[in-house]
Amino acid sequence: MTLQAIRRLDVTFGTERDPSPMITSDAVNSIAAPTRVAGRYIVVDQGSCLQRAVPNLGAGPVFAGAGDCPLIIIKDGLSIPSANAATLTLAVQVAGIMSREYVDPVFMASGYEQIHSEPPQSKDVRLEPLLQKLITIETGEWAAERGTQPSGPAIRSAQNVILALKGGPILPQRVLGGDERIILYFRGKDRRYVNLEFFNSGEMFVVKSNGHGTLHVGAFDLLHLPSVLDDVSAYVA
Amino acid sequence: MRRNGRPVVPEFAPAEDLYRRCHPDAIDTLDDGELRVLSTAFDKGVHALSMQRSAFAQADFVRWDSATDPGNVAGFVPQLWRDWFVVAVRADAVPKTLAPPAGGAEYLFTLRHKPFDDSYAHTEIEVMKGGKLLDKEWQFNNKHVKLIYQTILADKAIVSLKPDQVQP
Repeated sequence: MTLQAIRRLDVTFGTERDPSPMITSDAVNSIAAPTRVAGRYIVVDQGSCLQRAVPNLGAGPVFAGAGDCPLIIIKDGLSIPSANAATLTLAVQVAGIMSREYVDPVFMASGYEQIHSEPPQSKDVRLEPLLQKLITIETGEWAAERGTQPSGPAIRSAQNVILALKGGPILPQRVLGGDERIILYFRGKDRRYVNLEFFNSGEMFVVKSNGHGTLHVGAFDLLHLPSVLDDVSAYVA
Repeated sequence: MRRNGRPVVPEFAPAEDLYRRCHPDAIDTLDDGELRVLSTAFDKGVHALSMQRSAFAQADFVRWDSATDPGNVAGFVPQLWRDWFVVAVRADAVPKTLAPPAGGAEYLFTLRHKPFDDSYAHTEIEVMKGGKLLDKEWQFNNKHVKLIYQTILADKAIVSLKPDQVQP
């Protein structure tokens, strides 16, 4: 299922006028297998006051219904621009959904609102080989000589960052698999480069190097992805 | 290549090369054709990077697994990694110490000549923290320091042999 399906977003908690209590993360986590599938999920917490989203999907779990009635529940100040949710794995049915259509919904403590309803943006074909490389790394042959195969959070986070680059001015030259990590490698002028590093543990780092051993390494999270990407863009320009 | 009773030689000349093989993915061809070594070339066994020193080896030697490495698991079958690159980093490019940006004990890096019976040139870069040798990979668990270390090595490394290239 692609994120464009989220144009038809059916929300489970209440109505605009009469919101029912939000579904808590405990409630969502109680959903039993097999309706719950692998993927990234975002959970809503009771009383969260959410702001409009930056293109960022990595901060927590997302739950969505299967079929024609997808659901997204959001936590911690995030909402999801539909064009940026295109590769989430969405698969959970939650009872009590009110059927409404929303694009780029903003969830608030007392309700939600529609920001706009443009059709999904066109596909950025430049991303396809990068995303395909991730699939190859995750599912293809992996020599133990290279360390532990990247998996789980490393793959999903890298995937979300690639999607966040849709239509933008920068793209990684390469997607690399390493020991317990995925690297998005951005090559710049004068031998400079930046690596965005995603570990199986969920940790993320940005490595900026002048190509001669002078470098800066810093941790980051997807909540701050826009500023990280601005920084990458400025460094490799 | 074989040790043949030769001694450990602890000293490394600053300009001595340390060879290591790496997967082709760890090499990037820049616009001018130059080959850049990426940090994944120094991934596996980062707590004790396995290399061979140029004082006693040619670059091509690192393409063979050692059959006498005491770390080999039972049933290990040595392979020839002909289709991988061989990269080289000078001994004096290996950082001596690195401090965790968040504070705490420094990491100390030391070249150790550790010959095997079938690989006299075998060398490792030992890592110590707070006076303790990190002899398990999981003990080198500060990813921040690890990335700095690997990136420094990568930036200082050059390609010695391309896949299938034989020793000149």
